[in-house]
Amino acid sequence: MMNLTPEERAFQQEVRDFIRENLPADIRYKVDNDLLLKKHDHVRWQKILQDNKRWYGGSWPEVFGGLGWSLTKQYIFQQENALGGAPFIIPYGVTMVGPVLYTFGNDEQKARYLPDILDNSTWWCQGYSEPGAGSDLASLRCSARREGDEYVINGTKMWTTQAQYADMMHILVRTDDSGKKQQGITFLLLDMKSPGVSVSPIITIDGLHHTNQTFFDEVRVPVANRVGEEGDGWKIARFLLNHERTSIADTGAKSRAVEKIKRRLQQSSTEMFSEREKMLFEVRLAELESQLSGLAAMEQRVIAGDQAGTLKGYEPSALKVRASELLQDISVLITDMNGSHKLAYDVARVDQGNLIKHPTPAQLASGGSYLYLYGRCVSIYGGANEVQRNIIAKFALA
Amino acid sequence: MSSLTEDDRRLIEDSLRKFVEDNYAFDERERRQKHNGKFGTHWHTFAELGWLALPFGEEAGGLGGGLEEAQLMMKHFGRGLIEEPYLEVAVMAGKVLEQLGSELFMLLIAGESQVILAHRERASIHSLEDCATSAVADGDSFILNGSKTAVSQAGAADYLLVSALLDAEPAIFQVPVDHPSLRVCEFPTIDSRYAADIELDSVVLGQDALLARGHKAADALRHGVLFTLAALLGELSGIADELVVQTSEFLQTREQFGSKLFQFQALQHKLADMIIGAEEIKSLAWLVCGVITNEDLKTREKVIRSAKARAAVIVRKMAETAVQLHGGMGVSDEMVVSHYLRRVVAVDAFYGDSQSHYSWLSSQYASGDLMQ
Repeated sequence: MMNLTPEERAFQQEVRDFIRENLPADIRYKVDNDLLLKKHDHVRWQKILQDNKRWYGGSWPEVFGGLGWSLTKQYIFQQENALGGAPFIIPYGVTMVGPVLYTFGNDEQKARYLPDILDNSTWWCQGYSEPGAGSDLASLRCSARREGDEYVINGTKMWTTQAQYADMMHILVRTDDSGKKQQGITFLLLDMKSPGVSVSPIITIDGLHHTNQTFFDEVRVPVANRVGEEGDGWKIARFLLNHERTSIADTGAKSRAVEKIKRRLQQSSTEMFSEREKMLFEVRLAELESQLSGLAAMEQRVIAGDQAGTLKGYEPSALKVRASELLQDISVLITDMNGSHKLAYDVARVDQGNLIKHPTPAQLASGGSYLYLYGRCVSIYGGANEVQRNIIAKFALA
Repeated sequence: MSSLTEDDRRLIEDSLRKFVEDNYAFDERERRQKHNGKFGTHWHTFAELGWLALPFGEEAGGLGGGLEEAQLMMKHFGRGLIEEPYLEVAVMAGKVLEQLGSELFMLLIAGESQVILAHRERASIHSLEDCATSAVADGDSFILNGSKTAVSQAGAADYLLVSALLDAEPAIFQVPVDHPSLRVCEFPTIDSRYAADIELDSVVLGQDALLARGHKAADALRHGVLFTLAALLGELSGIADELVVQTSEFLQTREQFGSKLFQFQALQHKLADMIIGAEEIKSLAWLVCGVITNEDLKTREKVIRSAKARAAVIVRKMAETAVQLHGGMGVSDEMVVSHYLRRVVAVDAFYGDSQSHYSWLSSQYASGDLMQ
């Protein structure tokens, strides 16, 4: 297990205490019951973190308003945030475009956008995938042609999660299609209120509205909103992927799920499961917990390797595959434990997430069904697991 | 905890790697097995190189190493499929004896005596120190009755460390393997080695045969078993790495349907899963090094049992995949991957297979303790 310094240990305790004392009960209720978190839930929690402790931007360098956390401290925060039942941090602003801006942006861009990310007054979304460019991102075709001091965007983006809430989008566009497909991609910052932008909901397998298709019809973006040079888009996209390394496995949330299953088993009566069923679930849980322990050890070694600069490059892909498959397996156990109510899925209940004093078995089971259905996404987004396996194999076969 | 440095470990690893390459060529395996006497051909070299004393504290007469070094030795012995009973003698019996401060320990690390722990019994291992073999005091002597099951490499031993219940407390006795009331039934194992079922039929021993009793014996047994399970992750890690190397080489060499095998994506993805597995095993090996000195004994036991169970499941799957990807060659006795698979099955069975550890781990949920 990771050896923490006394200072890191104290920090861990501080985060734990803070979450226990400051996480609003209605938000904790949604997390505990696997119900949908809305934008206002995330914003409220992220503001609490930032206003009281500046922890929302803790990973940013101090000069940009962060706390300059080490990877270990970032890891501790992420773990404790999840273990304490708090919402996960929405990455599009603080984890993605923020680091891009302070790494590649010019002074004006930094001054204009960074403070608004930290205080949650600007909500960002990400425009990367397209109907014909999913895991094969470099095939993207959404185009931007230069006209004077502006780019004019035409095309469409898929899976623009939270675009319905967003003020801004960071978008990859094609500015040149004469060379290799990785060349000619440019990174722009786009105001979602620009004329010609339309957002069309995509209802996912869980019956909920997380994500969208966004259309661009002659949308004008000032050249001043370009990050880096024209054609730097691929480089920036790769930087972003590397930046997600430490958060990819998200074992804190999985540990919390496992603890919840344990509690359910301990509190179960013979009306819920027979002794034999209970033993079966306990053995399945033991297997999953041993996988989680392996995943957490991998995660910690990847963080240490990242800090020491000794990673070979395929390790984050390995984490992604194991983490997503484990989450899916955990969700299957959770739903199996719902027994005859495993079929229940009250989508309105999941969507509204109101506190109910005496939930029916069907309402209780709906959270598990949501977890199961949404869980199908995690082995697809961020580069499908099959693409991750291609990447991993390439390292051994090079 | 190890008092050796990274540099020490690197030096040891270099000589270890070279020794295994020079002396344990895979294609000479059969000849080696024929010539191996009771002590194995290289046992005295192991002693001279200090390997038998490596994973033990200096105060006990060892070289100051710990679990990291035991894993390192096992990693290379695993890669080389080395038959000498290093795990059983140096790691397991050694760890038990080190804690007891027995004279036998000095003989063991000097390579002069091969001692093997005969602890496991048929009624699988729920609690690590449990046994049903009985010891009864009778004047100046003790009489032992019971049976020990699947004692790996027992045929190599000159002394057995036998666990037994003495006045309802665990105790450890040293028993010469040629004791007339001891019946050692050797059988060949799936990894081309030997194990034995041992019957103790009124084995009469003197006072000096009792090495420890009560808490001291229980602690030595529990820690000895856990340390050994943790060291086995080194062997599994060595095998896992080698499975990846062998399989990627094969895929890059072999041609079918006019293409090198590695060009088929279905095969690449299976190889990728093997690489992920190897990464996870390394991580589990690292994890147990961090908990072996954890003062919370329950956590120590849970983490190590869970890691051993998980690692055995993964490496077995990896070895099965390696055999599959080698096609017809994979199931031939000539290919090393088929021997890795056979070894991994035996490693899984050693002191609680994955199913029995999962069964124990699941029984812990009922007792109500949750993670911190």
